[in-house]
Amino acid sequence: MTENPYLPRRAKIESIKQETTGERIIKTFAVVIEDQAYRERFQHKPGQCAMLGINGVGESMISIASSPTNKEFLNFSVMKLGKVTSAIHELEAGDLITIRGPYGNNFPLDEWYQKNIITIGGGIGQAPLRSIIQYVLDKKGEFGGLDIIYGARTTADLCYREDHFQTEQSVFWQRRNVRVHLSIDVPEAGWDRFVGVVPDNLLRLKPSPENAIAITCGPPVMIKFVIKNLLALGFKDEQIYTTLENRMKCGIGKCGRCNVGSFYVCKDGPVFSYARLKNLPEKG
Amino acid sequence: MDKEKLVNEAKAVFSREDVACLIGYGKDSIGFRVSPIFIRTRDEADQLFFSPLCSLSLVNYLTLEKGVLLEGNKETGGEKIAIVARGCDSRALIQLFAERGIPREQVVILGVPCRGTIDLKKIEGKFPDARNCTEVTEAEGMYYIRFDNESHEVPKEELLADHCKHCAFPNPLVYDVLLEDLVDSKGAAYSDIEEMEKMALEERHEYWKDKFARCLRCYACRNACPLCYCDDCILERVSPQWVNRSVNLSENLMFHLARSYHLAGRCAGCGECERVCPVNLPLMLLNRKLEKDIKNIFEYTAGSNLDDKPLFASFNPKDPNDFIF
Amino acid sequence: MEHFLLEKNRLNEFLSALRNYEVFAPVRKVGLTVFELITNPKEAMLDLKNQPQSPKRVIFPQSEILLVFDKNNAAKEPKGRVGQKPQVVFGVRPCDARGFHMLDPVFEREYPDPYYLQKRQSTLLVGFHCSEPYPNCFCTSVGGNPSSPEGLDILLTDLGEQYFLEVITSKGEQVAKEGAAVLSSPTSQQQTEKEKLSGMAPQKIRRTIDTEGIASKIEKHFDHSLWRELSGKCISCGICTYTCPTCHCFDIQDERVRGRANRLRIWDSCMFPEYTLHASGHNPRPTRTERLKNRMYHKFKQNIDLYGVPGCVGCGRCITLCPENVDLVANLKVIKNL
Ligand SMILES: Cc1cc2nc3c(=O)[nH]c(=O)nc-3n(C[C@H](O)[C@H](O)[C@H](O)COP(=O)(O)OP(=O)(O)OC[C@H]3O[C@@H](n4cnc5c(N)ncnc54)[C@H](O)[C@@H]3O)c2cc1C
Ligand code: FES
Repeated sequence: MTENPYLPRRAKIESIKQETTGERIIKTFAVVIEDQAYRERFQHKPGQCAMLGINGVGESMISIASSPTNKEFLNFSVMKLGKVTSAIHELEAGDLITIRGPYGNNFPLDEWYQKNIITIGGGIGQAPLRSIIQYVLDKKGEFGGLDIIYGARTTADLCYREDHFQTEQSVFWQRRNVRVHLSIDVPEAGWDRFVGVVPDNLLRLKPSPENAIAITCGPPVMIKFVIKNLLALGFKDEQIYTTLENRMKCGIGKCGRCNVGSFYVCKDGPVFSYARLKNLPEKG
Repeated sequence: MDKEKLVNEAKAVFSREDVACLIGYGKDSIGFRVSPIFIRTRDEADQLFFSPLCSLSLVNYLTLEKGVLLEGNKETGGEKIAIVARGCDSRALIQLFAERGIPREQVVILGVPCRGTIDLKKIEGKFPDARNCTEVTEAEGMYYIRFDNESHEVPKEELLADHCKHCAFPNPLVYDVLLEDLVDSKGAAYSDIEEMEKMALEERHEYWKDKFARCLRCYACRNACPLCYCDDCILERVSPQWVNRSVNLSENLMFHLARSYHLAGRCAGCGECERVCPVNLPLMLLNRKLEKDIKNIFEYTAGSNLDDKPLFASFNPKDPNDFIF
Repeated sequence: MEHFLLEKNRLNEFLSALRNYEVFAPVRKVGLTVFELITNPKEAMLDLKNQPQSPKRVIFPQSEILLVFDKNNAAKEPKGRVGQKPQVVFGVRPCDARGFHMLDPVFEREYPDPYYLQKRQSTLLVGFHCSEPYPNCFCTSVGGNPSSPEGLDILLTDLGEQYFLEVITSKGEQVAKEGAAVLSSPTSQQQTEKEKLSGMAPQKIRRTIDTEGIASKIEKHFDHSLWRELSGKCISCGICTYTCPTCHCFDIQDERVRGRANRLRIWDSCMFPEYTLHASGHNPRPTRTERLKNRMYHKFKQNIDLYGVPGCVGCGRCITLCPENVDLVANLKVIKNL
């Protein structure tokens, strides 16, 4: 009989970084799959996810927040919400976690050769975008410009802060057309960047749709208004990408719950172009 | 019951009051079946009917999805819900009012004195091929049943729903409109429970074991219950998890004990849990056992008195305290 | 394939001959007919009419252990999954056999599911021509037939004193071999009689719906206000899904019992609000309206998109057992006439 798709493998947590200190705590885990054969087979593409779990507690679908160009470890940024994510937050470096995957489709980066990439993220939604960002930075020659638009409620809720600040300040990246545009929702002392919601920041920045691809991930309302604004800026349906989220259990298109229309988000998603999304009957 | 009277009273309620929706009984297209119907306008009231086939309770719809029924009549901005209620339903309503599940002012009650209702499983078992039932009436211990081109007489005992056999409250205890003359009531009787109490503990365990092993955990008993309306139900909580999701005797037992204990001093005796159960669990035995004990211990019967406070929300210095060690 | 004759009074002998199999058959327990493992052929109750549940659970149990966790919390497959004895399910209605056909692609494709497939492959389905359909049966409207052999390994037809036994698959042939001692050859008259019964069967189905075009209607009228009305009676219980021979949705839970932890899969129902509830509190299907619509969408649109056939065998259980008479056929008609 073929291999058991429900059987998770053990992975070691190499390091943990607490990203946020706000109301919703997010930690980024760097993990390495123990079994060598499985590790080698685990070839993900930006946009894909994996089931992270703790045996005896449960599993959660989490986006892979690192680029496949990083061969050392896999990153996962986990927001503490319920049973499983809270248990994952209790773990320490050196502890074991379980993993199975990678699951789902991916951003069609191969089709975006020499295009300008614009990522528009909010909150934990920056996790799947981070894998694109790292990938584009690592393979800069294959892409045009990169605009990273990212916002959170407060500075305490911003993920990957140092990475973003470093890239923002770096003359090296500026010369290569990489720009970072951060925002927070409400004013804070010492914040000299944009204050307001992400869709507004997008409207202010007015990126050109010319030869561009815009990818947006974040809370459903944010996505809704970002797409509206992108369309207003002249982006075509095919130039806009997003990811969907639904409650998941199996991750492999069997348990039934994650469907949107006739698609299972776990297997046929989570990445949807707006052209495809538009025709779905329910949109989360 | 006189259909005309029911329809006219329903229409009058629409004319008199600011009603968004009237929940009543309608004949279904198949066999002996009766469905809940949701009347939004005066004219639709013609679809209403009542007969001994009306064995379902409509009260759970008041709380099933908060506010949905009130939304209905957008033009008038209706603020009340009218409901056809039998004796047991009125008990459920009284209990809901006492628990502030729904305010009394929001409900217009069309009370129906009830002579007991027919168990659908029994009548379908007897006439499995009936396609279209046109009439069921009751007189002197017999049901007169007409369907397709046949007419039959069946002794009432044969078709009466089990929980109706022990009903002590056939008349609505609260109503705004009374649709018929009151009927005689027998007072509480617990012969079925006394039978069960005679069983040795072991025997009782075996009896329930066999039953609970069949439970599908479909939640129909809970969802049909007019008094199971908690937003956060103990039966599906994840943290802490009181009942595991897996379906086996031990979890099922826990499920049903939790369910019936949460209805202790609250169950209105409408028998919905038992009626809807796809595997025929005699759930009313549990509910009625608790009802009987509570009656003995606290002299309290849920939903029997508009002025009563909920049992477990009131304190009486005379309450027994022999459970305290 | 081959045809045989089985004298009714030798049915028990036939069942006893299946020594190498675990035999599941409808048995009467606390007033219900349920499929269970039998040890004595006399327990089998060949009451096809009164089966509130399909034999789906024999192959896809309501609760099933996927993994067991040892002392060190390492995950292992439960023992006993491999090398299971072959099973026979006896007394299957043709609609329920087709139900397995609907489940197969779900568990076979892309990520083959060993738990289902193993049991499916080692289980043989012996069905009965359905001569007395339920009042709510509508199998002929969804591609089925009361005498359809589809999905079965052996089909029996009741000729009064005998069963006409048709071997449908090579798996069935094996069983016929084991029970050969009690089988004889049918006469041509019996053959004709059997064909006559099969021909008559579809006419006994009372409820029909022309499903042509329903998928596009559901899609087109997805946001129609009528769905609200169709779901008005629904009480969000799991009866329709738990008694459905084609519903396959499940939950996965880690449970600890007396210090031991297992990972289980347990049937779930799309009628429950928690089914789609996100940890954040957001719910894409918050009311009965979205849930009932999704169920009909899944059966009559999504399943066709994914597997080419509606995910419904017309067994009518969801109609018969719905405590509030939510009527799938009636609802389909409403959508169809939009
Ligand atoms: C494609 C995809 C990518 C995701 N990426 C990330 C990420 O990068 N970082 C992150 O923090 N979160 C992510 N999530 C959300 C994350 O899966 C849930 O927050 C998490 O499963 C909640 O589990 P819990 O046990 O803590 O919550 P509980 O409320 O205890 O949930 C119980 C179970 O329900 C399921 N569940 C509940 N909510 C969700 C949900 N929103 N999505 C999927 N399953 C759910 C899970 O199986 C979970 O174990 C993603 C979800 C999807 C679908
Ligand atoms: S998570 Fe099970 S089908 Fe998508």
